[in-house]
Amino acid sequence: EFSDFLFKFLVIGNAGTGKSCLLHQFIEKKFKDDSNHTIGVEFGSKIINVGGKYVKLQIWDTAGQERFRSVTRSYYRGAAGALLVYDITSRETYNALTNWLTDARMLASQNIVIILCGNKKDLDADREVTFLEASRFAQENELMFLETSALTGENVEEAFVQCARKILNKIESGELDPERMGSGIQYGDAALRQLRSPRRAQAQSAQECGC
Amino acid sequence: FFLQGANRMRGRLGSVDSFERCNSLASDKDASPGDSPPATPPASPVSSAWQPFPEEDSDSPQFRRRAHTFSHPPSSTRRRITFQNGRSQSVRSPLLRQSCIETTSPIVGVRRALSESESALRGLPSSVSAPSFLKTFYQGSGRLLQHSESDLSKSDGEGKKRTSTVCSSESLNAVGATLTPRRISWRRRIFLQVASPMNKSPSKMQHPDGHDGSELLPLSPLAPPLEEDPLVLVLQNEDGPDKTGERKNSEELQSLWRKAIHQQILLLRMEKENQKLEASRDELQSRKVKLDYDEVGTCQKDVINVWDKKLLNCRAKIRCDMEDIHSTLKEGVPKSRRGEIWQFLAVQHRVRHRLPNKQQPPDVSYKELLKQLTAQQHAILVDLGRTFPTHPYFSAHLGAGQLSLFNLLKAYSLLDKEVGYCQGISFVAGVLLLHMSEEQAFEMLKFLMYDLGFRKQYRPDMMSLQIQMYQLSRLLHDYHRDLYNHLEENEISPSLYAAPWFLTLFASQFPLGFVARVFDIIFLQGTEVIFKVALSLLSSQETSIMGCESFENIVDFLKTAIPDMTQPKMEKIITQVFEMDISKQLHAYEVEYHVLQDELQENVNPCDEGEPLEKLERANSHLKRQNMDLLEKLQVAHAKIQSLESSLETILTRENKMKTVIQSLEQEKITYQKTLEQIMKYLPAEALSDCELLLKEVNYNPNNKVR
Repeated sequence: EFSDFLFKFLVIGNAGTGKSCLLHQFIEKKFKDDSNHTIGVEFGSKIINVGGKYVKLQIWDTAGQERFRSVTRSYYRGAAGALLVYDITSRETYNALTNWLTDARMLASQNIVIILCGNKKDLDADREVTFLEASRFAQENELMFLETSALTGENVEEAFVQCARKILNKIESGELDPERMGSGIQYGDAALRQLRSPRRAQAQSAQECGC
Repeated sequence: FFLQGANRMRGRLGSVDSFERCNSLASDKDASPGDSPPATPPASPVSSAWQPFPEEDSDSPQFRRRAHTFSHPPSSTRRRITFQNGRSQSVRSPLLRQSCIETTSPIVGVRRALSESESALRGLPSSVSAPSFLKTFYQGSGRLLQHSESDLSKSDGEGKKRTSTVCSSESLNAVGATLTPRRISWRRRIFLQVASPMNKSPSKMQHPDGHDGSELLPLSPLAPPLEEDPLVLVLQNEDGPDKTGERKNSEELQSLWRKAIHQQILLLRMEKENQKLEASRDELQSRKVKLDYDEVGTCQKDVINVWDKKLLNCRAKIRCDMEDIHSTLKEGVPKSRRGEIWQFLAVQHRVRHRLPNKQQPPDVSYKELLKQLTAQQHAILVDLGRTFPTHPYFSAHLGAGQLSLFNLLKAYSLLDKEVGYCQGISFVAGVLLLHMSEEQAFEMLKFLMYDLGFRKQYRPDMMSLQIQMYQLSRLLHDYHRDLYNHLEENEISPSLYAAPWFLTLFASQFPLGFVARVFDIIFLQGTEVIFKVALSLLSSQETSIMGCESFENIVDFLKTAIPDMTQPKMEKIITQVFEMDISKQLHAYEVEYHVLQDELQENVNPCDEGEPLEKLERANSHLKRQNMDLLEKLQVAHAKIQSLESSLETILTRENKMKTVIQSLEQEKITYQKTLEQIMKYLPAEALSDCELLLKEVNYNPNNKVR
């Protein structure tokens, strides 16, 4: 159970889009078809390997109904990444995306990396939102984009991994600073002694000061 | 032109079978002169609309596949591309759509093959599915066929004026009509089955009953354009083997018709009787299914008898002794009577605490509410399959349980416009439905929400829930400091684990037997029960929680291990809850919360001017002090009222006791008098007069003394 980094993730989107099922599929590699609707917040974590680094994802799965935002909002703080989920068979859930997006950008960290997930890809026959328009929306809002299926598992792991990879890239390019408060990123217990030397020195000195 | 279009379709889609049939039928139509304009573009979809009844089995998968392609609601991109293609667009568009997907996706062939086989797969099971589905199919198609027919007649009149867009929408209509139940989105299917069930007229109800004889029935809408030929054909076919070659005269035909009709009527009747029988059997069975949970704590025979007596009182709305109810409830509740007992407790509560008029729910009947439409429909539907998904009563997709739940939630959302539907209510409603009828459950939901005040926590701002979280934290802080510190160190706030406890009254995570027991106490004591249960749950597991080291472990323990208790543990917690009293603390914490909130707001709103600010602050602090004083006084007054009420109650009970004592004394007196009379009879006259003298003396003496 070693990890180099710890990222805090959010799963947000309208009710019934399959947020909890995505999380369950990601963690257990199974589809849970008899789950309750989420009330408040659920939590899950998993360690993944991204480009040779072990990253522990702490994932907060939120209730979708509008009024629950007063409860879930406090969990937005300091999230490094987010899965913004809509249901490709429901235009209503797609139309709500801008609201979710402003919420996430406002409440989570400034540099939050968001991946848009068009879930229920397996229900192509009932599709109401095309791949094309959603990818255009993603481009306009600087989001990554995948169509996923929590039922078959298609693209589920990819969504989490791609999001984590982008965060890692940003750290390595210096765009994101893990030491900044509220970045949603922490060094894992295997600590980053070998990542980049100046950073490491800083980290150590910070720890010493803290003591 | 039409043939060309059809050929193109065949070439593209490769579903030879169905289209050849379309062609032949369409060309038949074309051959009959004047019947329809020569170039009737929607002819192919419409003619396919005639098809599926007789030959549904043979080629339905193909139809269905085509239907899928039509089913997409027109999206902006698609419309733009397909305008150039004019009339054949409805056929071509899906392909174009696919090709536009192809450009974006690298794995073309696989994806396409996959989606096709998927759609075919999805088509198959539905054709083999339950008879109830077939019923709706027939019902739906019967109604919708007429619709497409009227479309056709309209198109006849308008002829060539039609633009391409009209054409496409119409062909969409027509194909959509025949295959409606198969290809429409599941949401709409739910809607069709669920929407305003009260409005179904009896004739419509009968329709699905007779689907056995539907070889005759569905033909009726077709009869006018096809004249009588097919009917005669059917009849000839029926008797074909016996009397080959013989032509029937009209009398014979008539008698045959009569016979057929009689048989049809008989069939319908039998079907109805069958359904009645099934309904009664179903009711019994569903009752069994509903109450299939392990009870926490056993209810003794004598306790059951006590409940029986109390429930009798309930009908007369007699005020029962609260202590008495409390102690009986503690002994247990038989689950078969639980629903009645909850209603009894509600009546008892209402006898004591009358809601002020302002807080009363609007007075609209359940039936009236069911007729209306709710804006929350979608939100409710989405949660139907996700409320007690493993419970047999609720798990069946659109089964009796889910329908009842929908009705109940819909009615409540209409009654309480402010709350509407909030996730979590469905669990509460579900627990109620397991114990009583829909209408009773509605009444009890109203009681919980309004009389006991649970509706506050579901309001859109969810303020009350946040106050409750604060109260729970404070309780932990004051009474279980170690646990509180441990949770704080690991950044676990109550909203993470306790939100579902409050919003579903423990129903979403805990075993039903436990939940039912918690509900028992809630009906007696109200919202504070949730705190009591939460507190005793956490405190009983304190050592285990302290043993969990990391954040993940604690959350996992709180979310999965705690609800998974053993039977004796649950009993222990319930008895603990009966002995707790935390109402004063809860009240104090609530006041505290409001004060803190005010302070926070003060800090947020800084004032520019120095002097007025000081003044304001002084005034404010003064007011706050006053407020606190008043609150304290209020509390004292509340306590006084309570004590007065309790003393009143004791006085009343004493009065009752006195009355009974008086009664018994009077009876005693009567018996004494009787015995005296008897004694007198046996005594001789002299002795009697002696006695009277003696009595007089006795009577005089006290009088003298008083004087």
